[in-house]
Amino acid sequence: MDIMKNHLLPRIATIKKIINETPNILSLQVVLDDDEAMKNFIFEPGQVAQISVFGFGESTFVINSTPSNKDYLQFSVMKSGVNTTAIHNLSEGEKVGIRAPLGNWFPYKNMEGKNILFIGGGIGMAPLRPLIFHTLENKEKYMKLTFLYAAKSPDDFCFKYDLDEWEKSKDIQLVQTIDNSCYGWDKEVGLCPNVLEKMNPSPQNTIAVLCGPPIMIKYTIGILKKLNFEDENIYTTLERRMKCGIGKCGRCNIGEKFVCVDGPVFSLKELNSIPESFI
Amino acid sequence: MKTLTYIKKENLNTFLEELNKDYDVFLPVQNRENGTINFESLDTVNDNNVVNLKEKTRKSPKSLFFPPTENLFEFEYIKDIKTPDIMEIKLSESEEMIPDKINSRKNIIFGIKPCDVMALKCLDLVFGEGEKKDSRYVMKRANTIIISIGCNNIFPDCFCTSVGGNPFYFDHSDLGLIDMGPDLVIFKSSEKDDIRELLDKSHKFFEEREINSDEEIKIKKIISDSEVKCRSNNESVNAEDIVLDMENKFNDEEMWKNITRKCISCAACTYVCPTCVCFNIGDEQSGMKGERYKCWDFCTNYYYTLEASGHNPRENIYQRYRNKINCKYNYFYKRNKNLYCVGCGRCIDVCPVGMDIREIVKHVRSSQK
Amino acid sequence: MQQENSVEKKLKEKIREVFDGFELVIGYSQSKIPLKVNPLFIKGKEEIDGLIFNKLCINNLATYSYALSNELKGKIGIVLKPCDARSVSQLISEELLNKDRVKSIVVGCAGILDYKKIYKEIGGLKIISADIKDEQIIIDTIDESFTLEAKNFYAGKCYSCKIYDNPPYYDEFIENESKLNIEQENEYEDVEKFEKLNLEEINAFWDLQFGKCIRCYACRNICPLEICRDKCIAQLDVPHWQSQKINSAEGKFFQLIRVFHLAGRCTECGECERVCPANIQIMKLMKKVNKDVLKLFNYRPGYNLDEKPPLLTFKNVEKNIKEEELI
Repeated sequence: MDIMKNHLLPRIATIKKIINETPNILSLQVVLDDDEAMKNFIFEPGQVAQISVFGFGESTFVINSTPSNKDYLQFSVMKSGVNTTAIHNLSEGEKVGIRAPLGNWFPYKNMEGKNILFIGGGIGMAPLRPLIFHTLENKEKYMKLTFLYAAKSPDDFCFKYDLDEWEKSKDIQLVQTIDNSCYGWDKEVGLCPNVLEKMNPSPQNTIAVLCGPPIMIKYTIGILKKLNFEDENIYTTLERRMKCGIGKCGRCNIGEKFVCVDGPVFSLKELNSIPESFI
Repeated sequence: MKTLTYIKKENLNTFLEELNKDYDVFLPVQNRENGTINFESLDTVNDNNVVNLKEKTRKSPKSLFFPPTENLFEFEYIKDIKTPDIMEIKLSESEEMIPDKINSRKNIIFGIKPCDVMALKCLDLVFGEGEKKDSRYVMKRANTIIISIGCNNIFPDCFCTSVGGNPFYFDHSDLGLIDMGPDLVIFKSSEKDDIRELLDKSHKFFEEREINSDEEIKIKKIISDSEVKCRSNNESVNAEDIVLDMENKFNDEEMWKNITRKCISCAACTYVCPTCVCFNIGDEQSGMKGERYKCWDFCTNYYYTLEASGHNPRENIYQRYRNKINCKYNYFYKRNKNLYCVGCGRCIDVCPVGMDIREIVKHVRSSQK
Repeated sequence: MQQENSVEKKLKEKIREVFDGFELVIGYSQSKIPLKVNPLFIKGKEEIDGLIFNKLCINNLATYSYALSNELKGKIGIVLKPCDARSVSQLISEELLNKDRVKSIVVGCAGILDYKKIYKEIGGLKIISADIKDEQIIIDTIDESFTLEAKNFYAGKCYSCKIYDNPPYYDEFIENESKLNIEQENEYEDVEKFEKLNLEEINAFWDLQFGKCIRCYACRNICPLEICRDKCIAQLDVPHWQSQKINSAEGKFFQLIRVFHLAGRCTECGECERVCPANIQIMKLMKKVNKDVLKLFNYRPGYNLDEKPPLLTFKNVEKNIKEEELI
């Protein structure tokens, strides 16, 4: 009976593979211990999960494997606090607790028939990854796909294996940029908002989706507005400290919205009407 | 002629003790040593701890449904020396989740005031609605009978009428009683089966009386006197207006800084409030075993929104207090069409520095931007 | 609104006189709630008329000194009783406050009424209105009225106070014609009585007291000396000293952290016990540690600005501690 379900009780998953993306970010590929549950696991691009190392705590990570992949779930973890450090100390074969899927997702149905401009910064590519895969797998439904990916230095790009594929692909235009020029780098150099302005994308029939550190989002939105993008055509993901993940503990509120239920995906139109969105 | 049921006050103690045999009775108990009144089990009543139904309790009765600390589950890391590379984890939920344990005996809350019952209605909207209900809360609520006593007396910090409440609001109670002096009259009675059962079991303590018009006038006067007194002490707040004012004045940082200067950002107001239910989740481990628990938390505290990177969206006291007031008079209304403050005045009573939520709301409404 | 008494008049005059040099002055003002007063933050001269000073002014306004002196750039003036001035003096001798930025305007004290003692006397009944005339307190509750003799309801610290018209530290001193006039007691008498109980009784007492603790941190946040309130180890995950669970063991642990953090620093203002929503008798612990510090180091916090607090200094040989006797 659903009334009896304890929604704060996690399922157990085993780590099948660990990939070192950058010096302080790693990706975990996990498989739920319950085979049936793993086979029937459905999620949408943009949804998140609460991952815990028992004894340390829980943290929120976006599920960044593609939704069509039924073999494993992938999460990328940057080492910053108690739980993330504990995750970084785990090895393949060890177990974590997982509560998923939580939150809302990118409204990809509304993006059909349009151009999509993806803008990511550092680990901000993680929420974009499942959406990019979804659009590539259903290429016929979408128009031109562009991905502007900014990082501090060549070492700070995540998912380099995907970027190699997409560079060669005709289906998506990939533009990578780093903050300052460095030896061996022959692609773009410059901060994300500046490179975006240089690219001068047309707002006509285009949706922009951006994810990254708050300061990058703030300035990039400024450039998008300068380029005449409409508020309802700009999407971003917000982050707040989360505990219950199901809209009960009250911690992750931004105005009257909870990031764990009404987010993490928000359109700029929504954000402009709620207080405290840009701190 | 109308017939009403009465309980003589001289029979009240025996009535409650009789109830305590089949139910777990909770009621306001006053500690003689320091004078504080809180909801306790009838079993704790003795010479030092007496029943006091006239005054407001210091802490709200929310802890009967939302305990200060609750065990979510226990975990155990299991390792076998023969296979050192493999580690298993076993999760076991605590006994409290077993429905038979929760439903074995019904609870009665006796003497709860109408403001606190309104607060339970708010908590039902938080924990009892939506796809992911809090099952323990729902079970406890279903298992509890609410016997409310209306407020003949209004205290300086009461303001239920300001926020749409009433000193004799019995809508969400199972039984609503009015203190008539020598006896209590059952003014409202729910038709539910378990209430009928309770009334049938206890009929020997009750007296049915046909009331005459004098008696009826007396009852009406008690009700209207309280309401008039509460309204005359406090101005009414129209919910839609206050939500708009809170929205418009949100970014007036100078005003918020000025009105929250004396706040010391402790949890006294949050923890005694009947509607504040923000909680924290933590892990404790010793050796290979441990537990995950859920406990009360307070949004006025610095650590509430502190992120692992060190960034804190609400670094200053005025930002946290502003969020708290908006949660009560703005956000909850937008989500549930209900204000989140019931006007009980406990926060005003307990605040170390005299913050008065009525003054804050008045200030926000009248400030010119 | 009660009639302005003569010390209020003198206080207002003094503040008007010196106001131009200050960015902010903190004092007391009337509260709607019977027997209580409110802190008042004065930024403009027109607000000075709202000041009061009477027997109900129990709050220790030094609690705002540290945070405000960091937030503001100019001078801050605080209206203090002589016992509160000890807190400011202790903060200065620990180099947490700058003597030139925080000015103490000390008013001679005629004693402070403890509203919690009055509540207990009338059986915890809710007070509808209260009035103080001469040496009597007249109280109205729902059913009855009470007339109490004020001299029995002063705060505990008043009964052993020797500084009510002779503050150990001040920048401005306003003399009060009324003087504290109650029977004096030995300052650590209640602690000495408690020490005589056996271990079982003591443990049972504290178990009961801390069973009521709800970890609201009101005690920590109101203390003028606990400037660590936003960095408290009781709330940190790293290092993980304490669980966030709310129960008697955790309450005890938290209070013991406080006791050791304040050893040799607590100026016994009693605010922690006043603000506790669960009425826990915290001051017994604080006074016990202070009694020990007095015996070991002959030091009273907040009296002598030039004396370095002993627990912040290191001496190879301590005058009053015979190490051989300790082993």
